[in-house]
Amino acid sequence: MAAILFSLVSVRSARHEGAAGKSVFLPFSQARDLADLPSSRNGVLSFIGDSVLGYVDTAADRLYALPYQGRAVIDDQGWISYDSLATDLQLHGTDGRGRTLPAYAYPWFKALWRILVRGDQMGIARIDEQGTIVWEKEFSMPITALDASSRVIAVGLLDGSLHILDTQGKLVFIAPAGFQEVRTVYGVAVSGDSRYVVVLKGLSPQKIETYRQSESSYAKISESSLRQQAVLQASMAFAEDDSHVILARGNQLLYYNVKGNYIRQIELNTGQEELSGKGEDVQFFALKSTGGATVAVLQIQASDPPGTGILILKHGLLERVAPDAVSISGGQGGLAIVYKDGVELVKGWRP
Amino acid sequence: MKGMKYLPLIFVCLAAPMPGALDFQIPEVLDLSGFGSLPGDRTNAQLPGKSPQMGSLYGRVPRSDIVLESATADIEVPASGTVIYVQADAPVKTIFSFPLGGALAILHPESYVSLISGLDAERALESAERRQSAAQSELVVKKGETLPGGNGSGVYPPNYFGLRLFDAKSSLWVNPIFLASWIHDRTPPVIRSARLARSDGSGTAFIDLSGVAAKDRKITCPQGSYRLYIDALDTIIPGSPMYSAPYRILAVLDGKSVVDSSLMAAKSTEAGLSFLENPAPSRETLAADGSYSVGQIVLARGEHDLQLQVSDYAGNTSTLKVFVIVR
Repeated sequence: MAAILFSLVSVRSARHEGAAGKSVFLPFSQARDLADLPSSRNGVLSFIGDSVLGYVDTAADRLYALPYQGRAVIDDQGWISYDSLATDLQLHGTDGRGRTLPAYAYPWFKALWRILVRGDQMGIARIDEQGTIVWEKEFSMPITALDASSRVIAVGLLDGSLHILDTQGKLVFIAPAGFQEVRTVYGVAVSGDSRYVVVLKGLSPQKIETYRQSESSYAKISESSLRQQAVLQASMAFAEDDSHVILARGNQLLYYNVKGNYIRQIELNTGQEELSGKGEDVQFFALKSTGGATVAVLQIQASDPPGTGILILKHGLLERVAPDAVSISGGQGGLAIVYKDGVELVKGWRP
Repeated sequence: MKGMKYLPLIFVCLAAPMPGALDFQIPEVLDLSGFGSLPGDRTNAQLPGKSPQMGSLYGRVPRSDIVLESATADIEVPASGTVIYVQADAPVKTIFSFPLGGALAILHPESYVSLISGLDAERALESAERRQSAAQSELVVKKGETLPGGNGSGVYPPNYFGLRLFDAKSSLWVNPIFLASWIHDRTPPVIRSARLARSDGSGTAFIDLSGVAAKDRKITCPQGSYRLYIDALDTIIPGSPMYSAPYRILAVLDGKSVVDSSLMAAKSTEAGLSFLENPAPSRETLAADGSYSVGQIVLARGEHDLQLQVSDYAGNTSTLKVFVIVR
């Protein structure tokens, strides 16, 4: 019988000074037109703000930006803007040329994947830069969780099944499903190197399960039960070094150590008045790793408009705080922290 | 004779999977679009027929839910149960939100699971938590309670909601239309087109059954096996701009039923959803122009009477009669 570790220990985080290099703030008011973006993508980071999207040339400290309406996703090859009704998808290349994408879907980009999530949330399609469908997969249940590395995409469903597909759309792993007991997948995270997939699933008890790549498939290697169960969908992000996963749901942040198979609740002390919000009014979203053992989290304070801030956690401890930031991008050229009025480029970011 | 009028309805009701032990009632709303309908049929219904591109639009597949237009920003819970999943729209645009927006999955008795989408899930969760007693570990909702929709959520505009019902014992997404006792539908479906296509791969051309004048509805075709495609729409609420798929399609050849296909449920399989007994995934149910593939007909040499009956869930039926000469 697998050992189940009931380890839900509160740890109080303190703010640490980050090992960051030079920071440059590039305001949107001085951004260049996207049509002027150099064709070479070396050292270029894509970013998405709440009303502006674009690219940062980290070598030249230049910002190329474009306002957008509705919603959008972006990667190195271009972007898709769309409306909430999923009926007006516009595909753009980095040259700014656009065309309508014939789909009733929401686009989702991550780690070289361009995915369309069907309007009924029961199917995905992989598309290429031109918007052509490479493959599509329909599920028998609504999708409740989604994450990808460069090599695999993991899809969790309402009935608890977990589907892992490769870049060709071939199913490499499926975990069982059913409603005899509630097994719903509430969140999933795939490690950047595809070695691990961590899943939050089930109720009574709610578990975190870890699957490890084994030959051409995956095998469950551990599970750990959570003391506090919740029916909320969660966002989860793996640290780049595979050491842990940060899990966010509502106003709760959890640290799950993959190798040690233990869970800790994160309590934040940001030291920032503007980020300190009352517990119930705050929501967290795990975004992505910002390198090494760090993970970026978006904190949202319920207000009109919502107050935002980015927290960078290192092993669940606060490493850096960016009040008012709305999103973050990272790559070899540094870290781009996106605000409402511009982008802070952190060069030499070594977490 | 009056009783005869309701015979089709009785037959249809008996054929439908009725969740007997489940006390489930679709809330009374202004309008609805039914199970199996294609997303966007509201606007397409303005057109005389469907364009060839419609079927190629990714995501335009038969719905496994029904869409409800409420008179208010709230929707009533159709049946009591335990909340097992809550999905909320992200409060900022930089976070991905799933298309169903705010959604609640509820586990009911007898292994039925419903999913209500288009909600303001945070407010719905808050009100459910307020009602939850300290001793309760589960979040429960009661039939008839209202759930807030707010300003619209996911793919749903304000006052619109999605409702789907899964029978976990039978692995079926059930058409819940029979659980709306308040509907009185007396309008038969409209057959927009009916066509045959060779299913042995010997030809791709369609034989149009509906394009011929009614008084001289006669077609000639070679003998062989044909797939029958129907494009039909049904209005459930009188005067509604929202259209639904037909419920049942019957093809009678020389007095003998050769196709009997219905949208009483969609089978849940590893390959996806199976509608109208077509193989999964659900796009297999549609021709390129968006009409439904409803079954196979074998036409032997000779002269035949072919009768197509398209019914809605209430048994209202439209009929198309064609004289077929097979050479």
